[in-house]
Amino acid sequence: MAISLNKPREILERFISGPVDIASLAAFRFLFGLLMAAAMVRFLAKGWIRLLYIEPRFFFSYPGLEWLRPWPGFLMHVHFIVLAILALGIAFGIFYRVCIALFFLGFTYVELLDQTAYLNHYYLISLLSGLLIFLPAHRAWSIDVWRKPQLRLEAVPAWCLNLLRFQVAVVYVFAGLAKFNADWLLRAEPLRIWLPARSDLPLVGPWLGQAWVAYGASWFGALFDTSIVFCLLWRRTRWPAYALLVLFHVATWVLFNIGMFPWIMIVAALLLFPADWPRRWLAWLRGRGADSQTALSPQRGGARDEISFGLWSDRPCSFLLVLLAAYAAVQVALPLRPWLVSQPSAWTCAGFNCAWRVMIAEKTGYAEFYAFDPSTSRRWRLSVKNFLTPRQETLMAQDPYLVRAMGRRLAADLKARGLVQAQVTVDAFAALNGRPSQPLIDPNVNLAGPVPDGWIVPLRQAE
Amino acid sequence: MKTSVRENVGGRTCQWWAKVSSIFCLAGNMLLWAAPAQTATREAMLRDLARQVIASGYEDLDASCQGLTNAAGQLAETPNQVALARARQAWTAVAMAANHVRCFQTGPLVDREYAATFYYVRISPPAINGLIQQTNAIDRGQVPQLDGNAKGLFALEYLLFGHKGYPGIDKPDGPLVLEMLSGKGSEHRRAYLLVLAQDLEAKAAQLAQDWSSSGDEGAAAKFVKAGQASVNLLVNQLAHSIEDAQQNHLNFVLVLPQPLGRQLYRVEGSASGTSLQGAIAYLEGMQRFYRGAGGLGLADTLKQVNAPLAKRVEDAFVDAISATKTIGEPLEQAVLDKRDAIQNACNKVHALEILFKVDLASALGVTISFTSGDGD
Repeated sequence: MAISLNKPREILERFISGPVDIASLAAFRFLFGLLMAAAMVRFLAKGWIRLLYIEPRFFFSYPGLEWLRPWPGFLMHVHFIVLAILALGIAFGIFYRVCIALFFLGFTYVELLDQTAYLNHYYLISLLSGLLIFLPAHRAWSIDVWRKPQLRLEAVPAWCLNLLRFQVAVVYVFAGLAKFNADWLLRAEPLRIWLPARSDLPLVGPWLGQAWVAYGASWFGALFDTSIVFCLLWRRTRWPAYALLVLFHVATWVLFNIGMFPWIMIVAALLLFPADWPRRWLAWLRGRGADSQTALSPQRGGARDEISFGLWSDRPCSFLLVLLAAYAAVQVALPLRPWLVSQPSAWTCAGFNCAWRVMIAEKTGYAEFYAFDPSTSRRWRLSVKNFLTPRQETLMAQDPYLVRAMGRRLAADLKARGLVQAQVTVDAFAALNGRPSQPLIDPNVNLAGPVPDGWIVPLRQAE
Repeated sequence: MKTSVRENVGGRTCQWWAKVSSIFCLAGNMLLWAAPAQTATREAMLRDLARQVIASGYEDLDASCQGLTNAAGQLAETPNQVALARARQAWTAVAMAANHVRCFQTGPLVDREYAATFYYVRISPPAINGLIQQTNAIDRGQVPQLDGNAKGLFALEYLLFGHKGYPGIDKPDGPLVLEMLSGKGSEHRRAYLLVLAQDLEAKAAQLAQDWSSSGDEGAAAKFVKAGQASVNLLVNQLAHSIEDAQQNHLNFVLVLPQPLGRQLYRVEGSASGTSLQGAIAYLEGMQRFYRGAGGLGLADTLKQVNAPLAKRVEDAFVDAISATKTIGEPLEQAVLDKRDAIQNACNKVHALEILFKVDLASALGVTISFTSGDGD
């Protein structure tokens, strides 16, 4: 039997430049925009702008971004109102390129202001909106097309959709792989702590205190996350898998404070459906069936010549290939960092963020800073209440790197008051996934200077 | 042909949904039929705390406030040494009763803005003396308009015990109190004393009524109904109170600048010599919330998820209270001659604070449900 040497290349070409219906991309744009508008309104309504960006007097900046500061006073509120309007612009495809680019910049700016504000789904929003800048998601079912009909496309090169699919797959698969650890599978932590805290829910509540429920939920969660992408891609399992996905995410929304994350994933998972799913659904709703003429079906042998690519080339250029490969490599490499270190990243916080380690750690911390002046041998306690909000203080105490950043800030403050030689140490304790509390940072390390190896005390595994 | 395929698919889909619905109905019935006891225990714990610790604590406060009003009335009528001693004793009883419920400052106490009436506010003797020297005596109707530094439990402490070296005032200390209450032109001072005691009593009675009233709108019913939110609130308030006891009571006297004699007026309860007694009552009040008072307490919920931790917290409470009692004399005195004992008590309370803020909060899942904002 002869094997065509060209077959892998053909598959790759089809994967990258083969025409796919634009409908899925346009529907995602619409739903993503609506969700983001709702998210921004929710942020405003809950008063989080004041809590996160106006009340704090100190921000845990990302390295190199110390210059980034929130807008003064009410302008931060205006910023979120503008983001909500831009999100509506994305949804309805009005000046789409401008809206999505500004939304990406505006949202990412907010996310980068303070490390304690990091959330996996905020990171996902930045990634998705960043990708959407380069995708022609507005060239169907948009006001831009209504204004300029020449923009209208029936299909786009497959990479446009596959890039988003890849991103969604990375989230699920790495979130699942992160759960294959002893705490999650053998101790059912942190669900064993979190589920009983919801035992006042009607109907299911009383069961949430049972250990077997936590074990069951842990194993199910790990299997669900790692396998759901494949189940959604396979036609036979697609519908039950999506029903399960909706059930799963709604359950997590009810049980935990994870805001918009479940809804984003419920929408994003639709990207794994065939590219023409919106046309099929619309046709089904109109009672015309899946094979209606409204459905463009290049994947089912549709005439490729009839599909208008407009300005979009169907030939993958090498530059595009390199860019896509680089993006994919980064997205795979970032979540792999925690696997390369000896201590659990949930304990050290090294490589924990941007790695889709979602809902796997219940960690509580406590940090008390001390100053020591070698010239007088005086040691005294330093309060962080002048710098941090209670929320920031809670989150800082869990993360050794944020504790070190706070230590440096306190040292700079002492220096400004003439205590040039003052050292700053910390009594920091943390409890991870139900273990007894233990020292997080070596209390003898001077945080004001360079920290030695081993400044983070290793986690004692035994309970 | 297409239609029949669709009908078949539709039929299969209906069958599938029917099966799924049946499974859910069955599961729902099973859930209703056999609910385990976890929620019942938490509800029972909250109910017991509301009734046997909080409501009972406010009833004690109310009763002691009635005692203070009676004693203040007798002192106002016949100002002598015996009446003053009784009034001082009654004031101390009120202060201790208030300290027993001090760690849970939420609900009616906050809604009615009564916290500053019962808990430490640095009062101003000049402001109080200024009011007393006015032409007309203060009546009860004027109390709400008075500044916070001239009313409440600690204004009464000044009137009954004098002060410990308040800056700018030469001599009015303990021994002169009776003279000031019985001497020429002291009617206004005695009337003021009585008015403040009556105000305290009225507020304590209101709080006791709020917590003991039945019905869905009562404070106790709301507390129980809030479920995990009440547990979260309780844990956070207790954690905050342990820190407060350590920082603002025990450690506070250790870090007072020299000369100490000029700083002692800043120590809570220093005028009445109840600073240590107050700190102990504060810690014992927290322990009552943890252990329960004849019923279930926070410890019982903790035992269900982490029994060894429940024991560690219990031991830490016992150690902290015992070390504080060992100080043996008012803090403003002990800071001069028993600094080590205060430091030891500080360390024990600090250990309890870490256990509460880190281990207990984590074990009860308080952190995930009590953070502002989302998580993931």
